[in-house]
Amino acid sequence: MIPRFSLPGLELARFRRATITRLALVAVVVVPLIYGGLYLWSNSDPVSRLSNLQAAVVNSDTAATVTGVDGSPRTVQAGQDLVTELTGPDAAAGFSWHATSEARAAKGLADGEYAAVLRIPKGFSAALASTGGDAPQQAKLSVTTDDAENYILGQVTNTIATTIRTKVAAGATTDYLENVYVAFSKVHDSLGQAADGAGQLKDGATRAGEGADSLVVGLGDLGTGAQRLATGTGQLRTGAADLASGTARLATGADSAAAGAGQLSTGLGRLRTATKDLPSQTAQLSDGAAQVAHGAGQVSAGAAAVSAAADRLLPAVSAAQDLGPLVDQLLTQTRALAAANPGDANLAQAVTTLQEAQQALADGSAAGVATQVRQQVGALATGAQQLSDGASAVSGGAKQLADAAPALQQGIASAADGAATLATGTRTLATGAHSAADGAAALSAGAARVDDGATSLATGTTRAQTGASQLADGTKQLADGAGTLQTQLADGSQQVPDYGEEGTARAGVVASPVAADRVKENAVPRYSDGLAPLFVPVALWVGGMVTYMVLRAVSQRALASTASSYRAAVAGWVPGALLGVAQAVVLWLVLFLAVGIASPNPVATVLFAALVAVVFTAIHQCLNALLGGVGRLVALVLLVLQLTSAGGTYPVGTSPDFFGGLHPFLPMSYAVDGLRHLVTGAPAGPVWTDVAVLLGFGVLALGVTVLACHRRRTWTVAELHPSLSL
Amino acid sequence: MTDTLIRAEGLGLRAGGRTVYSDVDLDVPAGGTLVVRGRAGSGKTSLLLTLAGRMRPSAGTLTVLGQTLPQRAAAVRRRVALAEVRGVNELDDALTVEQHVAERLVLHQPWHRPWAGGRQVAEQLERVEQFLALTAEAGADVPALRPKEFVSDVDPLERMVLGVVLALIGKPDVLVVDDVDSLRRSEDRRRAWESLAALQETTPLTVVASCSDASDVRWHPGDHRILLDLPEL
Repeated sequence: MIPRFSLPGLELARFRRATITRLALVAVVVVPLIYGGLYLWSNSDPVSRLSNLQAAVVNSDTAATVTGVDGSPRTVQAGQDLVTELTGPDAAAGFSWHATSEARAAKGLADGEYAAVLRIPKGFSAALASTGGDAPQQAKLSVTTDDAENYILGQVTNTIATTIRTKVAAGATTDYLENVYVAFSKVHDSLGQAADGAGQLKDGATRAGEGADSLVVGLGDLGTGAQRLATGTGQLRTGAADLASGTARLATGADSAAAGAGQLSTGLGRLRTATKDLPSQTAQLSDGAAQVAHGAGQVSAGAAAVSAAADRLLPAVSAAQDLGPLVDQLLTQTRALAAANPGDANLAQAVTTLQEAQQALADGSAAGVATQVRQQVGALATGAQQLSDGASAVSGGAKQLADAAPALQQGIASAADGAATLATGTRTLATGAHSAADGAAALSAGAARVDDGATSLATGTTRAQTGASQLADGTKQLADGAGTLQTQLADGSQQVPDYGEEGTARAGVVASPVAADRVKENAVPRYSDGLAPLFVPVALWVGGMVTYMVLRAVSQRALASTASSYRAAVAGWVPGALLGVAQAVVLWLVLFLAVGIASPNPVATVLFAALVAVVFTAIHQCLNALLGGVGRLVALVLLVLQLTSAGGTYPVGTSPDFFGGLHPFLPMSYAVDGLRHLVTGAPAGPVWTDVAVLLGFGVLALGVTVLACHRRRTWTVAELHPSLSL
Repeated sequence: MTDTLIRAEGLGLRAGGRTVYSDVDLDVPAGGTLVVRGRAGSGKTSLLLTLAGRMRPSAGTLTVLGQTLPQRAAAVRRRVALAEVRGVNELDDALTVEQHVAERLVLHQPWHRPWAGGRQVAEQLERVEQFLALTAEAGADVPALRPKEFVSDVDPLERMVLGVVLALIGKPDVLVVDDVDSLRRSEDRRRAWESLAALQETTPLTVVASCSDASDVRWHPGDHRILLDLPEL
């Protein structure tokens, strides 16, 4: 919204007081719309509305008979076909055509009921049919219009007539040509298929030859292998025989082993029985030895005691020595008594004992005996000790023996069991060995037969190899032959033309060899879209003129104030520019939504039109500020000059040089150019140039307005008192 | 205050073969008041516009604010403001009081402030109200100026004061008030002159005013008032 207390707001507020002035503002906004909108609406799409015009078609043609390609007769009624096409529901031939009589058509053309009359002559079908025969004739159509009714319509009708004529001519010959092209295409296709078949045969034979080659090589390998197999089976035969004899010997050996093992088992059984009491006997031995050791110990102790006693005997012997003289005296006295009493025996006995004692004492034998006794007792003690020790050792050994005896007995039992098992095993072995011997014999016989077979195989493969070589040579020759066939078939097919799917199109081309396509870059769909870039700027120019008929170009109060001239100029321009923007927006909204003009860049189009409006208002303000009422007259002259030089309808180059020379110096040229680019969707580059140039015009206009304001700040007496006639 | 602000010698204007005014000699000090008295058609408005740099004299010399006219007219125009002058800067009947104030405010603002605020407008209206109250008789009822009233409906004195206040928005050194006698009521004329005198007491301002009858002017002793009579030619 425009702020209430801004200059444009205040300028427009002047119109708020009364309804009529408010309506004046609305009128200012819609003037360009009335001007541009109505014109563009009325011209929106005249060509598509041609069907609103009536036209007559008069058919004087009669049907003709022609012979078709396949020899069958065919009826041609081209005149009737054309009438049906023109008057049919899908007809797109410009006008609304009506089949009428000659008289009615002539009357209708004269009184304006019909815009054009199309006449189909009598021999039309026959002439068309003759194009495929020996004496072709030209078929003629005639179109009549009346320039007294409308000149432009005459031009349009000529175009329509040309289109109809071309269509008819093309349709007549297309049928004929299509058949020719189809026949060619069929021959071409068949030859092509034959060539393809030969090609496939060639490929197959080539592959078969390659297979035969491989077969020869493979059979060679097979022969070598068979030879080696025969050698191998020979060895197998010998080996199998050896195996048979070996296994026979093994069977015999196994029998002997079985017998031995039986005997071993029996022996061990007996040993087991014999050693059954060994543990108890060795235990008794151990006990006995212990008792011996004990006894010997006691002997030793006794001997030791004797030895000690002997030691004590020695002093007694010494004392006896000392008794000698006493004994000698005693003996003399006893003897003298025994001599005095020769009859007393005791005395005689005493004399003898005394003599012996004296003897004993005299030779000293008593001491020797004691020594010997001691020595012998010592020896006895030593011997007893040795005996005791020996008995103890015997006892220890017997004990160990007794301990070991059960294990020994156990081992013997195990050995006996093992021997029994061994005996059983060897018997089984013997049985097996016999079976093996039988098998080996059978193997030997089989190996002999295999060997015979392998030898036959080696012989057979050699013969197969020879045959395969012959096969390889034969298939190569077949491949060569098939290849030659294919090449020649293909060459033949190439020489026959193929039109395939395009046969119809080609028939169309030959029937109507020249056709012109109209290519329009950035095409606009309708006449009004093409005119809009001219009429929108024209409308906005008129809108700017009207704006400054209603608004004041510059406020007198502003000029009389102490504010700068620049402020006064802008204060007069901004309200006009805002109205201009409103004009542009309203105009385009109606053009887009109601008239149906389209633009690929609607926003840019409206913005550009708004810029045009703003620049135009600046120019109008400038003219008004500078020249007053005369400025409006100048604006009107400028409008006419710009209409003719902006190149809005025909390119400006088609106008006399005067307008071409004027073209670059008038703002509307750039407004038209920019809008044309935006409405058609052409590249936007030139639009920026147009924007820049228009901005330049705007700035120039504002600058001149400022100068005009500056000048108008001085009053004259004439201005002050306009009523005074000066 | 005694510097000469406006000095004219032999100032005259002829237009369309007719003499509008002639032989005007003036010497107005800064802060003084020049009262130009003459009958209708005696060239009062033209003389005032000439002194304001807004009309070119055809004879004599003129210096305003130290600037020689008409060569330095643009500089003079920036410092000499016109109250409402008929035929030159008439107020717009279709605009309200506050819209006129806003318009003048915006014209004097820099370009980047393109509109005026309601408070600014109210301040200026307050100023108008002060002038009117200042000159009213004690106890007299001063009607409030209605901001949304169209100027065509405003009381003539109020309209004149509004014109003066609008002129003052540009902070001029010289104020030009044309045709005080257009006020029909004698009381209004008296109050108009009083308000101008009161204005000069608060603002360093030189006033140039015109009338056809100076009888309502109260001449104060010692003030710098100069009466210039324009003879009818």
